[in-house]
Amino acid sequence: MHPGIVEKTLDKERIGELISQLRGKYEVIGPKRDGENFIFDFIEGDEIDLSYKTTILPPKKFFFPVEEPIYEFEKVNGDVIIRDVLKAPEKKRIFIGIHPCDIHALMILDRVFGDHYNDPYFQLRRDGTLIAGLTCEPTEYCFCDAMGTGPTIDHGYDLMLTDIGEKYFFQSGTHEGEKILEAKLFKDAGEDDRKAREAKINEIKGKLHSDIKLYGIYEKMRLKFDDDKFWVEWAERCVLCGACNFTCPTCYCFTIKDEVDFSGNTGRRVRVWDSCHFRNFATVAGGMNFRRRRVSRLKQRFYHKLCYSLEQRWVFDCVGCGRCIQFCPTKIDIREVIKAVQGV
Amino acid sequence: MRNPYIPKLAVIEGIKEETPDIKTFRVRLRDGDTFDYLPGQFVELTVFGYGEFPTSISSSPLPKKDFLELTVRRVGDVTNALHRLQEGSIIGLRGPYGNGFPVEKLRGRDILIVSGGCGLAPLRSLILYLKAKKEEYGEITLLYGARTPKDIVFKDEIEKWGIRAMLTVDKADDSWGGDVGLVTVLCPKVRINSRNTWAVLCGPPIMMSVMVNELKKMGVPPTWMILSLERLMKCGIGMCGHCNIGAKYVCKDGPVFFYEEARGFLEF
Repeated sequence: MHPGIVEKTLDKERIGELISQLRGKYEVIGPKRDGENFIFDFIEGDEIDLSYKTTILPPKKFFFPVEEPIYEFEKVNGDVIIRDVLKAPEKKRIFIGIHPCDIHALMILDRVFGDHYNDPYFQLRRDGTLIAGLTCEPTEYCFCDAMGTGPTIDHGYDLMLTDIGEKYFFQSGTHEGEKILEAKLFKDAGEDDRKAREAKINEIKGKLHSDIKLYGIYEKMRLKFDDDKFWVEWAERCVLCGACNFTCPTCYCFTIKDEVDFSGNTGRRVRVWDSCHFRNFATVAGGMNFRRRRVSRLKQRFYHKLCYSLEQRWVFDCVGCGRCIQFCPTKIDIREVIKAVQGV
Repeated sequence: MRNPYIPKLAVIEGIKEETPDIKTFRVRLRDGDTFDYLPGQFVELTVFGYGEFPTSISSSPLPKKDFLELTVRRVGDVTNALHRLQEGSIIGLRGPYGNGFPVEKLRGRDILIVSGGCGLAPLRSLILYLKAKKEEYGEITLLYGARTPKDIVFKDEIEKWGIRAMLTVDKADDSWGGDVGLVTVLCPKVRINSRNTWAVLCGPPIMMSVMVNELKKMGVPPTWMILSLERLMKCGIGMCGHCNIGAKYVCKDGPVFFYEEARGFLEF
C-alpha cells in the first residue's frame, strides 16, 4: 500500500447503499443503461451500471453543456438590462464511474478552459464535482494504450474504483475522497484484494493491444498537410455530421448565439457546441470561408488532435476512447489515419 | 470570478459616415470605465437582440481619451443592425482582446503601412499612436487601396495625419485624379529605406499575399513584415475554436503576427 493512499473494498451489492448515502451530500452522476447504449446521467435510484464499456456522450456535457445560457437581456425604454445567469450548482456533485481516458480528457479541458482566461461556467462545475474513476472495460475501438491515457491513471481523481469480481476495490486520490472511504460500508482492503486488482488491471492490459505508434507523428502530420490526395479518401466518406466532435471527450469548440423573443425586447445569449466539420465554421462576415473545402474541414479535426494540440499544451487532444470511430456513420477511423500517416 | 462573456454597456456618442457602407462609431462605457488597449487590438461588440461580432479599434490609445472609435463595415445581420442604430443607443462591449501591433519593435524604424478597404481601421489606430510619439519613430508611409473614391475610409483626415499617404482605387469616377488599380500599382512609386523599414499589412487575404511578393521585390525582407489577420472570432478569449489557424488562435495569439511566424502555421 502506498503511503497516503487509502485502500478499501465494498461488496458489490452494497453499491446502492453507498450511492444513497452519497446522495445526502452530493448530486450523483454515473453511467446507466439507455436502450442498447449507456449514457452518463444523474442517478436518482439504483440505475447506476458500472459494467458499462462506453457512453455515447463523454463526461464533458456535465462541465460544458450542449447548450448553456450566458445572460438574459431586456430592453426597457432605450436602456438595456443584462442578467448574468451564471450560478454554481447548488449541491456538490460526485461523478462515479469515469474511465481513465475520460479523466485525462477532463484534464485537457482544464487547460482549454483555464489557460489564458478562466471560463467561469466550466470552472464552477469542475470545482464542485468529485471524480470517482473506474478501471475500464475496453471496447473494440479503444486505443488508450497507444495514447498513454489508460487503462490505468495515477492522478486526476478523488477516488478510483476497480471491479474485482464480488467487490469493488476503492483507492483514494484526494483527502475528500479519503473522507468518503471512512463510511462504515467499506472494509479495509487485504492482500488478496490488492492481488485481485492487479490481476484485473493486467487482464485489461491484455485486451488492449492497439498496433499504432505515435512516435514522430507531429513531424509526419506537418509533412502531409498539403497532400490533399492523401486526405481526400476520408473527406469523401465524411458526411459532415459532427458526431465525432460531439462524442469526443476533448472537443471543445462552441458558437455563441443570441435568441430573441417575439417582442424583440427580451432574449438571451447562449453558447452551443459546434463542429469544425460544419460548412460555415470558419466563415467570416461577408462570406469569406477559410475552410471552404470539405477536405480542409476534415483535416482540421485530425490536425488539431494529432498536431496542433502538441504545440498548444504538449499533449494529444485525443485520449483513445474510440467514440469517434464507433459513432461515425461511415466509420472513419482515427487509428487508420494514424497508421497511414506513419506509413504502416 | 469575473465572467469574461458578459459585455459592458456602452453608449454610442457619435456616428460618422465614412463611406456608403462603413461608419465610425464613437462609444463610451456607461460605468465611466475606460479601456487600456494597444493599436491592433479588437473588441467584441453586441447589438442587443442581434448578436455579437469582433471589430478592431480604430481610435488610438494616445493621447488618452475616455471613448473608443470603432469603424465597421456593414456586411452581415449584426453589422447592419449596428448601422441602423442612432446616437444614444446602448450596445455591449467585451475586450479589448488580442495582442496588438508590436509598437516596441517598430521604434526607431520607418514604417510602411499597406492596407485595403476597411483594413485601414486598426492601422488608423497604429498611425495615430505612432504620430503621438513621433520623435520615437521614423517616417510613416501608407499605401491604401479602395474599390472606388467613395469607398475610401477616413478620407477627410488622412491628409491631417502628417504621413506620406498614397491612395489608389479599383474603379475611378470623375472626381478622381489619382492612381487606378490594385494597391500594388503604388509600389513602383514608393522610395523606402529597405534596410530600416517594417512593413505592416492589413486587408483582404488576397491583397496581403500579393503585396508580400511586391514588398520582397522592393527589398523588404519577409522577416520585417507584420500582418493583421481576420478570422471568425466568436469568444475572443481563445476557447471557441472558430479562429483557429494551425496551433494558434487569432483572437488571443493574434490578430497580429509576424509574416515568418504565420508562414509556419500549416493553414496559412
